[in-house]
Amino acid sequence: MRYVSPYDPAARRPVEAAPRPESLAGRTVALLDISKNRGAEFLDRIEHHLRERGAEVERYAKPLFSRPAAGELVERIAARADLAVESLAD
Amino acid sequence: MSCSVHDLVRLERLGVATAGVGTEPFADEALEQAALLGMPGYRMVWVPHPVQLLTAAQLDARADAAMEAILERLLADSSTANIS
Amino acid sequence: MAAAFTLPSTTGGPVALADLLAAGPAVVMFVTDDCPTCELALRRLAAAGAAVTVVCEAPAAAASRLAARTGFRGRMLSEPAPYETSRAYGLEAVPTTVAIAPGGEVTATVLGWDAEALSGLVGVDLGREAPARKPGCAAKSTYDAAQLAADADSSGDDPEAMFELGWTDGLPTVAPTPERVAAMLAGRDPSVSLGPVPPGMGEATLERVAACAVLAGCRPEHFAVVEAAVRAMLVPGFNLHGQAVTTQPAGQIAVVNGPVRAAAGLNSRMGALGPGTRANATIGRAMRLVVALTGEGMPGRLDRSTLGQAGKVGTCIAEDEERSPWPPLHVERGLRAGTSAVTLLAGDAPLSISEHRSRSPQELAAALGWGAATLWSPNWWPIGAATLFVICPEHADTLAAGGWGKADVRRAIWEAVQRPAGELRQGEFTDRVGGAADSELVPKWDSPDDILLIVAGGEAGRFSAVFGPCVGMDWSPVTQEVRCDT
Repeated sequence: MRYVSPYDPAARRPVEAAPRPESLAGRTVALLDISKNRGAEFLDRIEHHLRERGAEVERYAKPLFSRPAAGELVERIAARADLAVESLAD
Repeated sequence: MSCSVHDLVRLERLGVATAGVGTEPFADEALEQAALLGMPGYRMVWVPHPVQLLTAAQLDARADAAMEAILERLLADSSTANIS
Repeated sequence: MAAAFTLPSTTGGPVALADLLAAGPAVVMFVTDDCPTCELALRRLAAAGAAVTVVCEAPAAAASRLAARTGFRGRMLSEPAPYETSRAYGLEAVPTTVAIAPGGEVTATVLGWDAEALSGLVGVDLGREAPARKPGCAAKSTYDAAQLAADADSSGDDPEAMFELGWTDGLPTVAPTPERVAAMLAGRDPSVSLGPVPPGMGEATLERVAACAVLAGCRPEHFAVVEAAVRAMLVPGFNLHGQAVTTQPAGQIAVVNGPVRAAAGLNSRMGALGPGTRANATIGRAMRLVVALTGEGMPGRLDRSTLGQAGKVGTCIAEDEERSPWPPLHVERGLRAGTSAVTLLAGDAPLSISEHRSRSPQELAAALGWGAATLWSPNWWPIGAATLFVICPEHADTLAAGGWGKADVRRAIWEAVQRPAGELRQGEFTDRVGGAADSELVPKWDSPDDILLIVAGGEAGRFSAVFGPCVGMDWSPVTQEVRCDT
């Protein structure tokens, strides 16, 4: 019995983790603030630590915490950064 | 909260190594969502809840304490796989 | 002479007519597995304990399920395509019941459900409840070759299969066989993608959208609207992703305008909010299945809505442009009247507003506004989100009698629903309320532009409705033209 599936098999495949670098030196880290209270301050401190370890840091913020990041924002980060930290999910 | 997991999985799919930082009560939810999105082994970094009323110094301390775990998520580990 | 047959029984080995006649005269009822009258007959036979042999034009598994759901415990035989036995008996419709004497002569034939005639045939009173008589359906043996081929393919066509696959919103769905999907596509290119569907990002190829439309119970004439609705949902500014994973109850609401309403059979009159109209129910459902299945936004999994609500099965409504004293929604939003369009909104379940006394537009607008005032929250004002009112014809007449246009109605609702900040400053309140002086009036809606109005509903009755808003989700309504050229 053949049916036409409403599902996209590509969407259901496991996602392989991105490769991890050996160190932060020379790498660009995107810091994505989900824009909840105190989130920016938290990321300021994280930025400090990352810079100390030789990383370049770029800051981004979501306009609204309750919304998954716009595709365009995700793509921009992926184009510019090797690594990303998103916080502070509360 | 689960919105962060969506962002993080999408970034991983695009080749960006990520570390998500959240507050502890949402750990189970995040794990479940990550599994549904195709990354059952995805681990976030958890800080104690709440953070709203912390002083600046206390908040810095939270960030300092989280750094080790963040680096563990972001960097290659020579002995074991970083994300299972 | 009754034609001989040997057919498999659902409970064991093959049964021949000769076996039946060896025990005396036999009564044989021919049925199919998808005929409501056949089900009625089997239920009544089961209830009366009548001894009848049933020949079901379907594979054994389907015949078995028919017996199970009707409670029929007698002998059920399965006759698969191409239904030679039915042909031999000259069957045109089901149920057809024949009485056969031990010598093989057909002594009586009863067509359809006929309580009296069948009672006579089986020698048992089959009861007096209505209906006394009811016609049935075409026998599968009358199908032409193409239909038979399709039917042979659908030998596993059963709602349980869809439940087992999880291709459902909790209600039965129609199996998306290749034939049904092709008919739904009606020549469109199945590989065209409308884009990834949040939250799971499955690609909405037209083939998958058509599969969802078939699952939902749509007919091909509904598909143009379904396609337009999916295009609208996927516009980034609509923020489907946020809506699909939130703890909020909001679903997606489609408002249809233009000539396609008639072509698709959409209801904008009595009962427009349902149930009862296939187009309204199935088009809304098809859109939601694209989110729940193709987009993987299934409640309890990626959809985290705390309670959900019935409207998330699907909500699609047509505006009664002919009855409305005002321009329709799509014209307000910039399209020509003769264009067909779907406007997508995020929203919760509808709330009724009963108002039977107001004779002035002012009074009525205030009543409608206050009827909506506690939607989302009694204190979180302003809500910063669009809210859709469905104004019934009697209310529209009252509002328009004073020469009011939609803009006047919007402004009156907006002006009426305001409260002092001091009263709102309890529970969860906005920064605006937090920073305002006690006596400062704060409106529920930021501006009259957030209030959307359409006219629909039956002629009699003074009940309008308002859809609960979707707040804090940074979404905007999206209007998409419907392509009617296929």
